[in-house]
Amino acid sequence: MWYNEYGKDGDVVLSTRVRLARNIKNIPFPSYAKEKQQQEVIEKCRDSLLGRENKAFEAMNLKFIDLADMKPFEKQAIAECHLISPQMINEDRKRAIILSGDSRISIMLNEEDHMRIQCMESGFELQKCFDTANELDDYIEESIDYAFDNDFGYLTCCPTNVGTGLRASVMLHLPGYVLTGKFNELANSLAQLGLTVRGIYGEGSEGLGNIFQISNQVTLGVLEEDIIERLKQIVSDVVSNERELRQLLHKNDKYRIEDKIMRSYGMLKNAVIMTSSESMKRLSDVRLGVSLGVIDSVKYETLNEITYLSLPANIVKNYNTTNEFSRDLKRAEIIKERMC
Amino acid sequence: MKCQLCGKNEPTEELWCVINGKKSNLKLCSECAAEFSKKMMPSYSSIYDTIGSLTSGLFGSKLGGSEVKEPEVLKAVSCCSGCGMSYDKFAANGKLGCSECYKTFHDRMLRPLKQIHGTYEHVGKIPGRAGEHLKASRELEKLKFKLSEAIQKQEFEKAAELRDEIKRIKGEA
Repeated sequence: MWYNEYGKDGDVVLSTRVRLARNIKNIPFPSYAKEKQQQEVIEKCRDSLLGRENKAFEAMNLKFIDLADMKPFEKQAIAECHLISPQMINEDRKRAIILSGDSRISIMLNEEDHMRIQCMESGFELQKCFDTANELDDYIEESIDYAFDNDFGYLTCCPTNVGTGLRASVMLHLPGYVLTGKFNELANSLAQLGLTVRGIYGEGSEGLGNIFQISNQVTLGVLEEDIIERLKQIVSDVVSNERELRQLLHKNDKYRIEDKIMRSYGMLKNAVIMTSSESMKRLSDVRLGVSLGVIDSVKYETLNEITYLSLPANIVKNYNTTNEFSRDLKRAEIIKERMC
Repeated sequence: MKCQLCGKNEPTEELWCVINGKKSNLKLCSECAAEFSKKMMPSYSSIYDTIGSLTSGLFGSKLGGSEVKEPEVLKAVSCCSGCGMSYDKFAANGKLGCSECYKTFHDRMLRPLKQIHGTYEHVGKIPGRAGEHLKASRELEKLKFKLSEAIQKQEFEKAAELRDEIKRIKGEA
């Protein structure tokens, strides 16, 4: 899968995501739509994307999936891989997704808005993600009338998304900022620049594995290109600062840092029981070790693979484990197999 | 005729506002007009002041500590004709029910939008089909501006070209 790959600036940037929020004209937003209207949204989008012949889009190998046909843990598993938002797991309304063959494109139907066109890539690839999302948007608009206002732009359920409906977000591994105590400073200055910083799974997951998402806050009154360009510049700065901080940390406190890294490496290779939060923490240390050259026998791809395979619902999905304890045992086994 | 808000003074000013998607005008005395427009226009405080707990709190009546009273005229149209959602509900959870809500609550959206985004005017992408008309009118505005510039600079050859271009676009529309 794409999220296991090592992309551009992959030592710091894990993945990039761009999403466009769109609604269909004359149908209430999902939370206010009647069941029949929700069904209408799903059918219209499916017909628009899969019902028309188009050579360029055939290569994407788009598939329609009705979420009602999936088990809760299966939905949880794809949410853990960020293919759908956690909100999509709820069964309070009719929901579906249109997923590309390589899972880089996921169009969520009846999320907060009728359509959330989401494009993802490993590494730092804002432009590529935006271009793909934009292309899909143009293609859908050929057959669907969007809710659009001359003043407010694309209308969305939440006014924080109105205008361009564009949210671009970059997932970063920032142990350098965290370990040097510089993270709060970074979060504050990003907020002043109109950017949001959240944990790997949004609100409430702050600091888990030292992984953070940085995304744009403003969606109205700016050009799409400018949102992308600005985020690109700021994140590039964060990436180079993070690299510098890691080097400084290693230079100033060589033995303690190496000890921390190697202990975590040892834990991952030898532990019999491994909880989800511990594995995130240890993997962060090992990832830091790989980037500093302290560990040279582990590849980033392996770490990415482990990160996703060892998530709770993914273990349930792949190994059919029944309780938390058996999951923790399985997790230790999965990690050990790939580390040694 | 007296001022439509206080009913006491002679109206001296005329205000236009969009209520429930319809344009209506109010004849007000200068005091009421000043008061009214102050309430309607978004404040110019920094947009990042309230970022953090973004949506719900923003739309409530308490903004920045000072309570903002809804103008009487707007209370009459507090439900959306499209989905039936009330303004109070929107103020409580910060989410809208349908695209019509943006028209219904148009004036009251300006302030929160300004606070979140720093503006309330979309300048980005316009959908290809639905926005054809808007694209043409944005183009026309640009050309008209260039035309008046050219005339002022006495560049008549350029002005003639621009005039033909404007004619062409108008003809297509």
